[in-house]
Amino acid sequence: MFFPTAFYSKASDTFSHQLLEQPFPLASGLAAGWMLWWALAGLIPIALHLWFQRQRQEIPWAAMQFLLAAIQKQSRRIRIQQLLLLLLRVAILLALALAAAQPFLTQASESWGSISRPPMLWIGVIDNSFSMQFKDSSRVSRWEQAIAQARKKMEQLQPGDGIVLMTMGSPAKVLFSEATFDRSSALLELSRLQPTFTSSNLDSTLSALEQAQQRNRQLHPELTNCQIDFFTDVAGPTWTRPPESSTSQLLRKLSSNAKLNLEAINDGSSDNVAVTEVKVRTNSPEKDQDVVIAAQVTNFSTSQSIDLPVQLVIDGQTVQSIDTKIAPREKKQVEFIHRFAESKTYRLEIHIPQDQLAIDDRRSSLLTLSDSLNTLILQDIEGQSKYVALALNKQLNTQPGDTSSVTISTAFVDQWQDLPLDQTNLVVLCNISSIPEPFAALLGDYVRRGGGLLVFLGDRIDPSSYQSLTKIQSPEGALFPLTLSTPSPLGLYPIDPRNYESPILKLFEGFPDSGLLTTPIFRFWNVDAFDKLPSNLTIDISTERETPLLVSNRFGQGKISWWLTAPTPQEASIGESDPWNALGAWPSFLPLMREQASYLTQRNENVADRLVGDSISGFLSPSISDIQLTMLRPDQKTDLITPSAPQQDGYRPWIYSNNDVPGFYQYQTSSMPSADNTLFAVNLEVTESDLSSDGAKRYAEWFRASASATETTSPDTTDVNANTTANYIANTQRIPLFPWCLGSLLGLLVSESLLAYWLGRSKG
Amino acid sequence: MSTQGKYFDPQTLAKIRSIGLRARYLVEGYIAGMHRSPHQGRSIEFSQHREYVPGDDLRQVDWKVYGRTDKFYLKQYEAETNLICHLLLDCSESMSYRGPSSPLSKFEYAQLAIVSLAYLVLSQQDSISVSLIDQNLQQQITPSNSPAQLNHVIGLLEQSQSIRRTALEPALRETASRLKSRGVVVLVSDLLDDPEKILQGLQHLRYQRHDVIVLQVLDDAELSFPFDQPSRFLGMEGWEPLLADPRGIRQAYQKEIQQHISKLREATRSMEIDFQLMNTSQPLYLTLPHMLAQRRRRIS
Repeated sequence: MFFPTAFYSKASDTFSHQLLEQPFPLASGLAAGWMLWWALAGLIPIALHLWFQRQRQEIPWAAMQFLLAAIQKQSRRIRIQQLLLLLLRVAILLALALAAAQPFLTQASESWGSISRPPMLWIGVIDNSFSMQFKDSSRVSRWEQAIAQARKKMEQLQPGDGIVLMTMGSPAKVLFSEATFDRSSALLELSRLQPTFTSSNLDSTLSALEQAQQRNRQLHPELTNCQIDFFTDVAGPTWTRPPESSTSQLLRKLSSNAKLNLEAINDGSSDNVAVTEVKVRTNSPEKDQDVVIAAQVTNFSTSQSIDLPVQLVIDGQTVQSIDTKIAPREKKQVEFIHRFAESKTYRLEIHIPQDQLAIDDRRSSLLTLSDSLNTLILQDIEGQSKYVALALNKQLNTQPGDTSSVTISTAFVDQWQDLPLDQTNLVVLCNISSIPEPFAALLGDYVRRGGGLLVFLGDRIDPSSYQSLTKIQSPEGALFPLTLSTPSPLGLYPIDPRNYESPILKLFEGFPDSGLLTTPIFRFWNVDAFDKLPSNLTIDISTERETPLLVSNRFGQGKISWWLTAPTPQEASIGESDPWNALGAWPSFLPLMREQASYLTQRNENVADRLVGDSISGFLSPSISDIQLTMLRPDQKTDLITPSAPQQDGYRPWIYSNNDVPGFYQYQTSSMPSADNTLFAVNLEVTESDLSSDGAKRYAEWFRASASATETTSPDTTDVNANTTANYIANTQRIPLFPWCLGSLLGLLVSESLLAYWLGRSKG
Repeated sequence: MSTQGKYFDPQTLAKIRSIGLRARYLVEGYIAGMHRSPHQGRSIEFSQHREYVPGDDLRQVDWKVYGRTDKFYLKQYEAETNLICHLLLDCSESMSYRGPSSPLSKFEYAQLAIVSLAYLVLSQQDSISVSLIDQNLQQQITPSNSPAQLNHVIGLLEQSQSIRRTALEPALRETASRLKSRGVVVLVSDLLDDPEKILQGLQHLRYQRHDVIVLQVLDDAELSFPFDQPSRFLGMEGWEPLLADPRGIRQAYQKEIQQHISKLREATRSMEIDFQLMNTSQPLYLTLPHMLAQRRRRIS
């Protein structure tokens, strides 16, 4: 799997050879053609010459025969000398004007030579993704090798070369917006660079490269040539992914103006084991109950199996260790079962022994065990919430010694202004005909900041009222993502649990007699275009005809579940008096409701578990008056965050984007000590842990394709000709003639002075 | 006297008088003077004795010596004649040139030289004649040793003008044919003519067995060509104007004129003609005595 550096060099050499074998014409141009107007100054010595001829004095003379003889002997020589001087003086002015016009030659060539090439723009692109921290057998990291190679390249640059440094992490960063000509400062910047914990991103790197190149071309037109050197281990998702069309276009565009070079820093080793996933398998974890924590450990090696201990670390304490054998390229699942004594948020970590790439040998997650659940059930007529309230009331089966606090409140929707939404974990809307718009906005804010919402759409609802909820949007989509059409005809619609994929139904998996499958549904709301539902929406339960019955969607940091049928079998007001279902009376109802409540009130894992570089966000309660909050980072540093303006419900959203180190982050304010819901786990994007560089050959092939396009030039094909021309241009270089013009000017000046002195002396 | 004073440089005359003007060869004359005659005879100035050889005139035998020594000796006498000095002045237009740093034009300088020589010769009781020449012989004063001859000379020079072209060969030929008696011919000219023709003219004088002295009068500017600025040279004696950069041709010009002078100097030497270059920037009292001193050395 060794990816040789020479591979690229060979390709480019071949290309260069191909190019040099062809008869490349020299083309010329002027970078500042208007300066040629100064060539008119060449008329000045001619005018002076003519003027001086007219200004001669008259002398009467007797010895004319000797004068005539002398003139006849000398006149030819004098005229030649004067003409030579005149030509020299005109040439001086022409050379000056030509130098000011900055002429250049365009020549198709790959090599610039090492001694007298023109100044160029050199862009060093250094991969600072976390795979560069891999240490090879000599215990020198790829990062250190990349820096050393980049330093060597920079030291080989000539005075006058412009230098731009950039990193190809995610996002790509350009260190100098304008090329620097101070090599020492560029070397200093290079030495200050640090590897990151992100993945590299080729597309954003190429975009940033193109912008940097264009900007510097405008700022420094004298840097006619450009060389871009990539220093990368060609590992990770950047290089294993096949090049997209946009990537190819960017590469083609860049190569048309620059010489691309790839320095592959890779000794061929891809042996690496990483913890690639940590997940709590138990759906509704509770204290003093077994909680299953699953870790996925991946052996990225292609040849070696490995035995290693996998450790579960909770709040910094190693609680379990399981010896595991992992085959090459195997993703091994390791499950830990642990009981937690308290209801709080636990910091979970999975550790494996450190290998050559240590940074991905641990992974973290959070587990929140909550024993307080405040549920608010809303209805608009009496009786609609009865079954739901009964199902959610945990006190019905409370064990002795259970200290959990579960409160269930029932209210009418017209009291919405007085509802304590900020103290509620779950809001249930039971067949409410219409939702007042201000309340809908409050509900949107409530879910956005992490609240759970369960809605029953039964016989009483006004579809148009719910349809208006689509106006409330979040980045994930609308609050109400469905389009209701008509109630289904009365009938018996068997339930399809859809392979129990929904976390709500995990409890029922393997228990077909639990009553879920036989839950009687007689009528439900049909949904338009349910086969084209938004991506953030999942169908948990459907009829056997795939018509949705229960759907869930994420909204902000919260979750919503929509039952498309009524919450109670008792009332039916549309058309006939037949009930819509017997859900509330069925044995599956109670566990279904409790699973739903648990699911909806569980902290969204996308909020708590983040990847490096993905921003962390949250909301500050109106009760907290602090202007800023403090983020405690895993590297023991702190950052201050200023929240945005408050939402309609008074909560102030905040966002933190500087989570560039994996580990646990926690925010706090002076008026609010650290609480459980202020913790975040930030992990690496593990695709970068795959050190295989095989995929990068696709890019090598692309480079080679560029060269071979020239080889296969056919004079009969216009397209190929166009392609050839593009490649020819792609590998042309502009040779500035300014130094030559200046040198010629200097030579002419010296020649004119010497000649004038010599002629003056010989005349005297 | 004021007119005469114009031409007499007292210092010049003082120096010349002390040296005297001696003809290089004996000339015939009716007035016995300082100049030896090639004819021995009726003069009272004893020359030498020599032994008699058969065929000698017995009238010249010194009988007193025969009486004392009993040997025949002839008594020879040196005949003294008066000198006739023919002064020829070039009146061509080129003689009117005066350089930027010269006090006199060549013509004025030559006039001064002519008068100085005339005064000198007359003061020795010798005769002078003056001829003005350009393309041919213009005017002539017949030889005379009268003191009034000087006034005639000055009057002639007063009237003379340098306006015509030079053609020395016909002028000298004509002059040679007009000179009745042999004498010293002094030609004062800038000699800006074809050297071959000049020499041909001089040859005519030599054919007449004249003792010829050539005084070439040139301005210092004509010798050094001191101009720096590109100039338009307006030719005299009908030459077309010429544009020239003096710095560029100075060397070539100097070479040309020196070749011309050298050629004349060499040729006149072979023709036994005294040649003297006179620079108008140098005072006449230096150049004229110098010329006479050299001539005296050669005669003696």
